[in-house]
Amino acid sequence: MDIGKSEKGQKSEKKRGRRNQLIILGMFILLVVLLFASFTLGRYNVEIKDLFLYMGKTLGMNLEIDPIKEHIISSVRFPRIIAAILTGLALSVSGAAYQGIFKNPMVSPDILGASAGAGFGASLGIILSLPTIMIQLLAFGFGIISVALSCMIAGIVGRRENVTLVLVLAGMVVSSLFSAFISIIKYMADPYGKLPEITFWLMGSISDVKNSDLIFMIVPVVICLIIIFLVRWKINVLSFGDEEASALGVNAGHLRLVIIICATMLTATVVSVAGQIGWIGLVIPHLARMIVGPDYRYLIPATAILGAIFLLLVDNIARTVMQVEIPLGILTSIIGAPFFVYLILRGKKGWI
Amino acid sequence: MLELNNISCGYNKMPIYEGINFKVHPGSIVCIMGRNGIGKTTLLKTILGSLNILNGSIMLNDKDIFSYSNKERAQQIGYVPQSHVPPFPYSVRDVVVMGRTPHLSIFSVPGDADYSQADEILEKIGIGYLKEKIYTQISGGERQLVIIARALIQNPRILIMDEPTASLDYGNQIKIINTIKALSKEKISVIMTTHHPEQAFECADLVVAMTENKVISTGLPDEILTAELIEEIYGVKVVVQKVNVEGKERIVCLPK
Repeated sequence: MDIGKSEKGQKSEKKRGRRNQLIILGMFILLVVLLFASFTLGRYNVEIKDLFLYMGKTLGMNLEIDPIKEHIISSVRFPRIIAAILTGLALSVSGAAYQGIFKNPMVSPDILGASAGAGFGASLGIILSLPTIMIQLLAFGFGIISVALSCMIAGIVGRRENVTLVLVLAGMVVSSLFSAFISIIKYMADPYGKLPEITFWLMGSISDVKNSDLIFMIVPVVICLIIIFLVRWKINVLSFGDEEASALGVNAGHLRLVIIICATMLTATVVSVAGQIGWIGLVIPHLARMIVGPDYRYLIPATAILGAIFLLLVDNIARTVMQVEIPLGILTSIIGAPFFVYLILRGKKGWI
Repeated sequence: MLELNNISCGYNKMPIYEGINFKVHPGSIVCIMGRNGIGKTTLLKTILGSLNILNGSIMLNDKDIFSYSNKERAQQIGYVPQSHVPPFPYSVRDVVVMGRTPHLSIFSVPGDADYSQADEILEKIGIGYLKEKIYTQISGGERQLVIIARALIQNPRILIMDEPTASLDYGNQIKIINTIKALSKEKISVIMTTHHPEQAFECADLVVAMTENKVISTGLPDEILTAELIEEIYGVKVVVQKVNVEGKERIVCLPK
């Protein structure tokens, strides 16, 4: 576990590579096991046997399955579990990418206003009683707009120097602007109908995700993820700053822009479906760094899988622990905040 | 191999220094001297291509440096910035391997050969014992040597170093200068900035002095680094004297 202490034992890079590959493989197997187990959790009793029956039937085998169970597996639990995996994966990879390119381990996906912007878009959609797909499109659109706005402000204010700092500050300005817009909408909303709807949406939940929503999530998440995965090693170089990166032959400005766009797309896509779910983008990359070390070659896949495991676990808790469903965003904060303090205490020397 | 023809450098189209001319030959050591803020780092950044040339031209192997891509330039010129602590605890080997970037395509990651090359270079400059260490936890002098290793693994013809001995203890300063001298024997040219006249006397083949009145003087250290010029650069009175140390003639510079 502890990279610093076991360094004497690690003889070569090959050994470290094999060790990290094994860890990532192990985490992946854990995720698959958890994925199957998650189908059996919930109010209505579904057994693992039913799941295999359903899978067999979908693959064209002639099997009998209880139609209620079939409905629960295919239309209730399947979209929810996939949404949990995509959300966890997207938010944590986006966080890891932001941390690398902004050279700051305390940065999280909402830094450029993506969360606040998407939150505003969705609130707007809800108060105008638009259909779900439009709410999502609005959330997505405003997520992208707020990031573009942050970049634009930073571009006007910033000179060549300190671009990172200016960008983060611009992100804060844009975030608080959109938070204010959200407040205006809440203030104007009907307190018995729209207000609770907006409030619950903002708390973050994937309980209403349907199979038809999934495609809207999968396509952008997979595309952005592949791009970040392909350039992941270069994020190491970018974390030394633009000047050194460009002296090392990297086209720093372009690469940074591509990664910012992809990371923001990941966040905006997820926020538009699942609402504001905090802490994952900050906590999971740290946890992954403790396990596989800071090299982005291993950090990106480890972060992706850990994020998926974490959110799937939290969502399972959200839907099983209490009679009433607990909003996911609240749970991630309750678990994430103390966990983060623990991480800081444990990893004091290296990465803070 | 590197030739600066009458270049002006500066930020945002405002030149802060004009009319800089000098040539760098294979294996020669160029020391750039000047007071803080005169534009030494600006000049280095201009050669590295992170600032635009405002006037004049820089030729690398008889081709305009602008015709090189970032990657092609990085295969010729290595950069040793003043070392700083990155936000993540990379291992020393990880940091050195990043110097292989100009030899990798955009989507590829370094392989076993790159890692063993990193180990070789660390051994070669005498810090093989650092390879498993965490870069953020070693001393400033060790970090500077690691950054030199990172630049060397680029396999460059020219190294650009920004005050390579700044904030190092006396022993590490001498180690770095000796490393630089060893590199020049392998026909790697070094362009460095320094504030110590002794370092220029010790190793420079060419001194580029940037003075207050914007007149640049270039030449051999013993010829141009006179007490008058040092006073003009730094605004303090000094004595430059030849001394005989163990049968060798050395030049020292002391404040008056």
